[in-house]
Amino acid sequence: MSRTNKQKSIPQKAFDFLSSYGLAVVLLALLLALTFFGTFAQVEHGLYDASNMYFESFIVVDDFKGIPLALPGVYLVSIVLFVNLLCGAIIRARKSWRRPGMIIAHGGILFILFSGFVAFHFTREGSMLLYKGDRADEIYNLTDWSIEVAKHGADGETLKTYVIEPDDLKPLYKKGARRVFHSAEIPFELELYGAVRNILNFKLEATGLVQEGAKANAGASLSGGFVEGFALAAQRPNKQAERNQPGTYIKVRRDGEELAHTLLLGGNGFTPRPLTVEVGEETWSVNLTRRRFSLPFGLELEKFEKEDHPGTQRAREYSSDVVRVDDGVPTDRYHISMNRPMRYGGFTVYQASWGPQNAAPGDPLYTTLAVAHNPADQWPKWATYIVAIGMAIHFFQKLVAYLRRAGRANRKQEDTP
Amino acid sequence: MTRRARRHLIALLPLALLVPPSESRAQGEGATGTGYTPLESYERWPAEAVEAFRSIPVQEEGRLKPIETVARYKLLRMNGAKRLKLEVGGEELKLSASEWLMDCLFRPEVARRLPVFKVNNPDVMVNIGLEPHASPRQRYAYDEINAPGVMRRLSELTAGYSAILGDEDREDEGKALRRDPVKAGVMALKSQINEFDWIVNALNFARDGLAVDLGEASGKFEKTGTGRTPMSVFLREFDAVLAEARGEGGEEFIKKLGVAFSLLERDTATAGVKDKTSITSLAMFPPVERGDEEWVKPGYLIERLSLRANELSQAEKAEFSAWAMPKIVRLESLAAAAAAGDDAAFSEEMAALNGEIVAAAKARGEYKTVSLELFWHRAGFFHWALGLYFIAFVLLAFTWLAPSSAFARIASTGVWLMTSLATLALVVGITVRCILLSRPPIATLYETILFITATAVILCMLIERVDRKRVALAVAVVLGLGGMFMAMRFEIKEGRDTLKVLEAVLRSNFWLATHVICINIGYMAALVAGAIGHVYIFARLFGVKNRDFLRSVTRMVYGVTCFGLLFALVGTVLGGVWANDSWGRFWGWDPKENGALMICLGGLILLHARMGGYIRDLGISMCAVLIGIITIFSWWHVNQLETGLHSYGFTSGIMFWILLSYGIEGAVLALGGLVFLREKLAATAPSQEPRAKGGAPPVDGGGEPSHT
Repeated sequence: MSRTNKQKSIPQKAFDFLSSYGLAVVLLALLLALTFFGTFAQVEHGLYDASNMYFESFIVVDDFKGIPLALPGVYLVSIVLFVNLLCGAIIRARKSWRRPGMIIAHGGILFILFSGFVAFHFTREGSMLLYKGDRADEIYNLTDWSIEVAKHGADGETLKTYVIEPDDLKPLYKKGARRVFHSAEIPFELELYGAVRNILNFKLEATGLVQEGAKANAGASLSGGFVEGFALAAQRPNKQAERNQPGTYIKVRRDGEELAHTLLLGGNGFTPRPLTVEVGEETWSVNLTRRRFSLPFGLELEKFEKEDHPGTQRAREYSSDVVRVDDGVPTDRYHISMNRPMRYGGFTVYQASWGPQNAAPGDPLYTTLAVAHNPADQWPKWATYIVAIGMAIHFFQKLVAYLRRAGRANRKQEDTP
Repeated sequence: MTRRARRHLIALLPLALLVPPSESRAQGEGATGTGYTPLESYERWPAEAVEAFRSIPVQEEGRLKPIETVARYKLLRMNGAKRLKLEVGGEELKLSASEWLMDCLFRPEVARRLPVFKVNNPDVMVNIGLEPHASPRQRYAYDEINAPGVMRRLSELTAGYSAILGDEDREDEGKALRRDPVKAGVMALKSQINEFDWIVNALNFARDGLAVDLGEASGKFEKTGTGRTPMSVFLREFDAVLAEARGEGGEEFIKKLGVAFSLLERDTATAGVKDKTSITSLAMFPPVERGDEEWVKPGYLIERLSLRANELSQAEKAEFSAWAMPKIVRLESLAAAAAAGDDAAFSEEMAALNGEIVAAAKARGEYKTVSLELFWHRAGFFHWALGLYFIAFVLLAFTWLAPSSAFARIASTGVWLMTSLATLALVVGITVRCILLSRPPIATLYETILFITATAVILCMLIERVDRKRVALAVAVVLGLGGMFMAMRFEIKEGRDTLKVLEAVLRSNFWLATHVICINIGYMAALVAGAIGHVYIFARLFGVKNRDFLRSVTRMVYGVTCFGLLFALVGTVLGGVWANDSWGRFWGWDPKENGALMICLGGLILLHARMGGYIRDLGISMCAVLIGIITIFSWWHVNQLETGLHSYGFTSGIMFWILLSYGIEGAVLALGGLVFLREKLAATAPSQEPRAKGGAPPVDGGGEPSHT
């Protein structure tokens, strides 16, 4: 005999709640609403920002066509949904041979959610750009920026690099934010303030780098004062997040003494000069750069081929022939093309793009290879098989039952005089 | 004289810069009159010439196709139909697209007076300074728009719009512009006018030759007596022309030839060179090299033998000339026969041209799909499907008049028959498309309409086979008719060849056959479930009490939703797996991905709410309608957002229809809500009569949901 609600203990009540259909419906409805609003947010903010706001957050605060929204984010909802599925569809569900399909399917969905969690937290991804003959063993994340503080030897070689991660930089883009970074291994501290996420307009002109005395200053909303004749003014973030280029004011101090006070601008060729700090005999550099990752192997481009549909400029196929380089020694060859990535050592290398897009016939082309290290790389595929098998079993059972019922009903109808 | 022509002349003829540019412009204009008068008579092309013309293969947008296809879509873009209707001398004529294209190429003076341009919004014409026609059905002729000031106004407006659209910092302004019906209409008209201009000038070189008589310019050449030199003659004498220009007293000769060079460059461009972007010219000759895939436009032949002749050695030039000159001469002969009104000679020349190109295409192994495509056009499978669904719909309406009568049973058989034939036509049409393109049936938005319609009708007919309530059959007919109508309207709206080659990322028959098919079956099932849900809601609204009927409809809605959910879920995840292989991420929150996810979530909500007892029969149907709305969002609306990896499907002018369908479906949901409230109120009202003990509970109603 089942106990009434009043007789249940608090943990039992909590379990009932967490495993209930009601909670499942509410969570699914929330996911539906978040997906809908998040999709429209992309029109306004672009994919990267909308994903951050809606799909990778605990709480969403935004407005939808002027209507204020405050909802739990997809990240939070997904965690609760995982618990709900685990409690309701696996632990609490009746284990019966009459309904194995649903348990299998729910198990598969749990696996998908778990894969998403692992991929979200542990994936490292970036791109490399290679012309024929180029070799590289580093990738750059196109959207995330970091500050690299590097110690150099007498010949300028990099001895060691310390990184301020993108997640630590992001809060600095808020108006008035200021933060000091220090490490026992670095002989100075860095104070960052007045950071702006983007200094470029949509034509990729550096309108956010304002020169003192220039006419344009009048209307510019500066994020800090003029330093060395220049100041920063935040520009509207580009919807294509990889086109944004950040900048920040930086002060370098050692024992209260200011060693440098300048602007640090994102990009390589764009930085007016590298910020170099001399401390005693040591030479250090500070660089605002796209987040870099080293690969345990290198890739050398042997050949890039782009084939167009005849008489058009529409690419029919493009592919890269690369050689893997281990410890400076060329080893295996790989052919990477659309839908056929190279997989090696837990890394997957994709044929992402090519350029320059405006290249004239005969001009040399480069290949853009996207590289990802995702521990859950193939999990969703396996999870799909599990879900499909589970649902197929379940719906097949339902179909058989339906056909039997319909057959009986038809016979009954035919028998009726 | 344009920069390129001038550059060439600087290299070849040092004094060519002395030629006044105004002279070449003066020669270029005057080709069209400004005082428009409708055609008073129209002489049709001989049937055998039309037949030979329509099957000439040309390469366009990356594939080889019959010129008939090119003509049909060119005309569709301008005219809104693949045939041209006109009234001449009180008689109504219908011209095929090929006949119209022949007019453009060989009788441009007639083509310019044909009522071709369809402008739906009269404000477009008001904006460019032209009095609009009384009805949008009345098309405009080129010469009508080419009135003083009108064409200039059209160019000025579109130049301003282009500046906005090309400025990334004015993105919002650009979007607003594209959605403004008048501005979008002005831009569309300008684009059509440009395309028309290109095509009527494509064979200028063959019709008019060069506006200079070489014999009058120098005694060393033969006089033509017409004041013009045929292009073939000019190309044959090209080396001699250069020698004469470089010789003693060549300055005067060059001066006389300056205009000719300017027009040569213009006519070469309009006839089409190897630019890889222009779809306005006709790539109608197979390339010289067997390994070369790119077919050749006539302008390329001229360019290689004149403006770019210095790139070839004498031997190469001789070889190329031997290959190219007969083609130029053939086109000149055709133009001459057309100008002379010599039908027999014209037909003969056209048959010869056809024979030469087809033989070359066959030798390259490229012709087999061309003849199949011609058959596909001729058969008109989708028109048949539309017509047969319409007949089925009419018969269906008759069955509703007296549902239990013998007449209804006979009509019902007719509905079955017509629906089956229509679906057969649709499936055969889709299959032929697959053969032509060597790929699975869906890769474009247009193809989703065909596939979803076919599978929806087949699914409904299968359900009807089991259930026999005529509900699924009715839904099949309505969806079939609606789907084919939508496909027709979409094709007109797009105005592009629907047989498209694919981007590199889409060229995977495995994923097209799995992910794309699964997703579209998911869409289809969601729409079918929603459509059957309508039947339930209206049945309850109009007080249908037959419990068997209502339960049966609910079972259909539920079953189809489950069926769709299976495919939508598997298809969505397969899409993720594909994306993982292509771009290195399983899920990217792309709008199209989100749309598919929302359909899955809608289905899951329905199932779990039903399992939890939160909804019953009416709720299931209302949920199914809601999922149908989500499907419209995912299928069509996300493409209008102009963001994400799947934004290829943007089609201007369909937002109104999307919003209208939301409105209608929202109203159906509201009616469902009304039914719920009405029955809830009736259930709580004091009963007039005591309820029979042990009586059946209501099919649906209020009260607390029963948790399991």
